[in-house]
This record gives sequence, C-alpha cells and structure tokens, in this order.
Amino acid sequence: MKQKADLAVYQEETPRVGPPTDPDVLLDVRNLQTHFHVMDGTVKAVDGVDFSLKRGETLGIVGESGCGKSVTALTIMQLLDMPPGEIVGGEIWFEGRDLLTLAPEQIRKIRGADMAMIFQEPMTSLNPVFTIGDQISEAIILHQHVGKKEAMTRAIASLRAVGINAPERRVKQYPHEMSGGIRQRVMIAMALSCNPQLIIADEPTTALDVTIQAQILELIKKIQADSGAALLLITHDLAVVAETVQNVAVMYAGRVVEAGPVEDVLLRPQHPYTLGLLNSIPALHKRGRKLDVIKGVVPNPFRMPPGCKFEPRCPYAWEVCRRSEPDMMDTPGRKSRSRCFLHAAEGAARRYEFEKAAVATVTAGLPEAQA
Amino acid sequence: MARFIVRRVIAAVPVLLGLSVLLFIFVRLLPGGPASAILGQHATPQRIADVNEALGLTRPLYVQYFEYIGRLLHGDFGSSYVDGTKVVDVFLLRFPSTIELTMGALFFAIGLGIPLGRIAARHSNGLIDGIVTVISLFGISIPVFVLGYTLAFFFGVQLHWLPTFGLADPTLGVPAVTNFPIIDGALASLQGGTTAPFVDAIAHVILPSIALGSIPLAVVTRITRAAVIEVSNEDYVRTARAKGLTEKRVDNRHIMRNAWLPVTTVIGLEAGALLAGAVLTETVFNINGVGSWVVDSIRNHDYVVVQSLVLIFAVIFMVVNLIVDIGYAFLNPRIRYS
Ligand SMILES: Nc1ncnc2c1ncn2[C@@H]1O[C@H](COP(=O)(O)OP(=O)(O)O)[C@@H](O)[C@H]1O
Ligand code: SF4
Ligand SMILES: [Mg+2]
Repeated sequence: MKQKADLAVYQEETPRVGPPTDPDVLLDVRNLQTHFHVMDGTVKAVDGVDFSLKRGETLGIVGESGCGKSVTALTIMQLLDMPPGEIVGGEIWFEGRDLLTLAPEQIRKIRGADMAMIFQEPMTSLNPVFTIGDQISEAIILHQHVGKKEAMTRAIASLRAVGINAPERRVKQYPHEMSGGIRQRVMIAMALSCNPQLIIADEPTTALDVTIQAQILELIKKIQADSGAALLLITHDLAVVAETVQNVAVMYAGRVVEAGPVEDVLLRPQHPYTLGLLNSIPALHKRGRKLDVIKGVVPNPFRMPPGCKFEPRCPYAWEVCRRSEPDMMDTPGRKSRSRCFLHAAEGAARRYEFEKAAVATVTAGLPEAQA
Repeated sequence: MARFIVRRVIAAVPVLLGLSVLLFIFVRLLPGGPASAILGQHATPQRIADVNEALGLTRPLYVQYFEYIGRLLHGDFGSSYVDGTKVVDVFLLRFPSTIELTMGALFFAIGLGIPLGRIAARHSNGLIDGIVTVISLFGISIPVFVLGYTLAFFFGVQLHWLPTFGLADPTLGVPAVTNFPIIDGALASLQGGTTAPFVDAIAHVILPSIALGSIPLAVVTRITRAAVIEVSNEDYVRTARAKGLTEKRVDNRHIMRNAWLPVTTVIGLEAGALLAGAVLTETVFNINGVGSWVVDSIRNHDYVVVQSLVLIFAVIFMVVNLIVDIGYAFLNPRIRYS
C-alpha cells in the first residue's frame, strides 16, 4: 500500500472531500460526470472519471474514439457547450481550488494562464482573419498585463521556442499561409505563452502527416520538460503513450478502466480492454501473430450493459460480469489498478488464462516496441 | 488590388455594351412614342410623323444606335425629347436625393439588422429568435409600395408624426448647395443658427428609409443570425475562449469579424434591390430623385433618358459591388492577395 502513495493516478488515499492532501498534486479529478442531453436521451459521455496529476508530471489518457477523452478535457477547461452538455457531478481540484465551484470570471483568469489546451485540429483552431502574432499576444496582454509591443516581443519568443524559423516574419502572417504542422506549433506556442502549470493536449498529432507527427510529439515532450508544466496528453494511440508519458489512464465508455505507470499498464496489462488495445497495435502483428482487433463495437450510449461496460466485447467475461459492475481494484505486486473482476476473488480461477495471453502479447511486441 | 480593379472594369465593358443594345431595342418596343407624349392624345398622325422626323427617329435603328453610343463615348448622355433638358444636368440635380434615400435605408437595415441578428443568434430557437424571424419574414414578403403607403398613412396622415412628401420642406427656403437635403439642411442650420432645417431633413428621410430598408433589414438580420450561429461553432472560437478571453471580446472580435464576411456579401447583393426599390419609394413619397424620373421617362417614352439612366444605374450597381468586394477582401485575409 505504501508504495502506491507516490503514484499520480492512484486515488485511494486522496480524501473524497476537500482539496488533495498532497501539495504536489496539481490536478485532481474525482468522480467526474459530464452528460449530454440530446434528442434521444442522455449521453453519459464522462461517467465517473478519476485521476490526478502531480506538478511537472505527465499523464496520458487513451481509449477508442468516443470514450469521453475530449469531453473530459473540455470539462476540465470548462469549455463545454452547455447545453447540451451538463457537468452532473464530481470535483476538479486544480491548484487547491475546485474548478466546479468557481465563478465563470475566476475560471477565465485560470484558463489560458495557468491551464492551457492544444487542440486536435490545427487547421481550424486558429482564427482566419487575425495574424498569428495578434492571436498569441492577445492572451499575453490579457494575463500578463503588458502592452501590445511587449506582448508581441514575447509572442515572437514563444514562436522561437517551438522551433519556428524567422518568427519576426511569421507573427505578421495569417493562418492560411502556414502548413498544419506549423499551425500546430503556433497552437503550442500560444499554449506556452503564459507559462501554464498544466498543458492539456487533445490528440495533438492525429490530424497531422505521419512525418510531422513525430516532430510535434518530440516538441511537446521538450517543452514539457523545459517548462516544468504538467502534461495531460490525450490520444487513441498506445505507441504515443509509450513514448511520451509517465502515467496512463485507459478509458472505456466514459470511465477509467485501468491506470498506472506506463511500464505497468503497457507491459503488464490487467484489464482485457487494455490487452485488446495492445493486440491491435500494428507493430505486434509483424511477427506473424494474427490481427487481433477488439471484436464488437463501443456500446450504444442509450443501452449500456448493466454489468461491466466491456462485457459484450470481452473474451473473458462470465456471469458475474453481466450482473454487476467492478470497481477500480489493486492487484498485489502491481502499481496499477484496474476495473475488472478477474482481479477480484471471484475471478481468481480465470485470471491465469488472461495473464497467459497478456504475457504472450507483450513478449511478442517487446523487441519491436522498444526498438 | 489594382489588377483586380482593372480586371473588373474590363469585364464590365461587354456587359454594358450588351445592356445598351437590349435597352435600345426594349424602349422602342413599348407602344407609343415620344411624339404622342409631347403632343398629347389628340395629335394627328401627320403631326406625330413630323415630330418623329424632327427628332431623327425615322432614320434606320442602327444609325440611331451608333449615334447614341458615339455621343455616350464623348460623355454626352443626351437630352430629353420631351423638355430638352440635358440628362447630365437633371441627373446631378436629382441623384443626391436618391443617394440620401438609399443611404438612409442601408443605415436602417444595417444599424438594426446586425444587432437583431446577433440577439436572435444568441437566443437561437428561443422566443426572441422566433419574434425576430417573424418580423424579418414580414419585412421580406411585404412589397415596398404597400409598406410605404401604410407607413405614410399611419405616421403621416393619421398621427402627423413625420412628413411624407419629398425629402425637405420647400417652405423653409433652404438654399440648394450640394443637393443632398440633409447636408443642405445642416449647412442652413449652421448659418441660420436654428436646428429647424436639419431636423426637417432628417424627419423627411425616416419613413422612406424604413420603407426602402425593410427588405434589406430582413435579409441582413437573417444572414447575421445564420453567420453568428455558424461562426460560434468554429474551433477557433473555442480557442479564443481557451485563452481566457471575456465572452464580450470573443463575441465582438473573434465571432463578429468572421460573421461580417457573409453579411458584407449580402449587402452587395442587396444593392441592386435597393436601386429598384428606390424607384418605387420615390414615387410613393414624392421624392425628386432619379427613380421617379425613370418612371416619368418611361411613361413619356423618353428613349434617350431611359437608356442613359438605366445604363447609369447599371454602372452604379457595378461600382457598388466592386466596393463591396474590395471591402470583403479587406476583411478576409485569405483572398487579400489574389
Ligand atoms: N456536443 C455534444 N453533443 C452531444 N454528444 C456529444 C457532444 N460532444 C461529445 N458527445 C458525445 O460524448 C461522447 C464522448 O465524446 P468524446 O469525448 O469527444 O470522445 P473522444 O474520446 O473520441 O474524444 C461521444 O459519444 C459523443 O457522441
Ligand atoms: S469484468 Fe468481466 S467483462 Fe469486464 S473486463 Fe473484466 S472479465 Fe471482462
Ligand atoms: Mg476526441
């Protein structure tokens, strides 16, 4: 139990009421629930998400498209469209304050200053009618209370920091004069410009060319290390997680199903969903293993399975999984936790089969994944 | 930019030439002719033939056409068959009233349409939005002259709140300096030390502006609403919010600067409708503008006047559209250099 206390994604010791006791915890998300009220009913896009992030640390959130990653990020930033969105419950502790209890005016002062976000779509995330210098310095003027000229100087400096050539010339350009990769660098410069404590990057490389993706990922790692900001990196790509972050939370159907240090989650997965994600990494199939995508589809938000949300797609499911839903639980000797009955007493007899498959997958992928 | 303007001017030449041919033929297809307008209904065929001969209307059509075009190219827009006045002189006298009227209408349409559209967008699909939509549908479907006569009847004849005849009260004896009633009124007010002439000119332009501006108002409102709603959902608006900007700044800067683009385009498209509407509005409110003159000239079969005026209208329409396009390019950096 003791060793788990220093684990960023580990929740048990954190009290459910009041700010996190550990002063190193920068962001502490507890039982977050964000729903969308749409024509057909209510979509529980985020349905009880917990995780926390310490100052200067990095956390990845992975999961298939639609599992609630972006909604989680937008809820933290308080950028949801409400309606149709509604934050139904939970707490978001950031720098000792619960963001869900703050007035919009207070949130506004934190947003862009202490907490900045990089979005998935660099092509559409910059305003087409303003120069990028204008768009970067706007936030600097607002949060750092400097004049136009000084703000522009700082904007040029932050463009230089993200590796843009001739930033003095670039600040006078409009977004349409730049490629997607450069625009994403501009977005990163903008996020960096006010020295935030927390950077949230929502699939920052997904929309880019493969060749550019690696560069941008390197850049994000570098600026995170240089600035000492904490990073919340959202991605659907386990390979990105493996290369970039220290801790990872795997999300399925609006919840975290497995969380822990990257080495544990990726090399010793405990949840069948995590194993399924690992099996569908293309690199693992070069060695002659059969392609093993997770069968079935994400459950219909209006007809969620009554028990474990992964049960309809899970090769290890049995009656218990259909009746009730597992909580996050520990596994002896592991730093990570997961939401699966295989690791409860009821699952003891079935655990071996799963462990065997997990070991086979991981050993098959190891040399390549490390290469 | 200069090349863009030159290209547009060159492109206008064949359009204007084609239009001049069509006009030339069209006015001559109208039953009757200038001679009967000059001589009255009881003229003998012989007298009509004499007048036509004197006016040169018996010569072959192509001769008449080339003579007309030849004069145009020398800057001569011709004279009225009916009273002999030069088109240019009358135009310079009457055009300021038309400009004042259309400016008033535009001012009304944009000044009210943009805020209404923004309010409707903010409360989209709510009660306010519904009310605004109904008002704008009303504005689009009601003919200019019906609205004009209705306004004149209620606010002029019944309530006596506003004048409904012309653009200025002639009994005030305001000297014509620029021929723009409001400017002349302002000048007279400055000189005479009384606000009366200026207030009078403003009061006169209100009802005609509302009548003429109702359709553009409806169009501007609807386009503004649609543009604001569309732009509000853009990713870059979320980026603006993510920076911590106030809602007001997000609205006024990041949303409106983009929403202005389609609104500008539509205002350009409405220019033609405004000119057409001005003809009707001037008739309803007895304004001595270019529009009512066109109507009189058609009635009198005053060929040269009709031809020249419609051509001038076409040129004005093209110039307005060019200005709107330049304004659009100014607002939209994506097309600024092309
Ligand atoms: N504005 C919205 N209105 C209705 N449903 C939404 C909205 N935004 C997201 N959702 C729903 O919430 C769920 C999670 O979406 P999202 O967080 O974007 O997934 P992802 O993990 O791919 O980022 C999806 O089922 C999506 O349909
Ligand atoms: S609880 Fe059951 S259904 Fe859910 S992941 Fe574990 S084994 Fe599969
Ligand atoms: Mg997403």
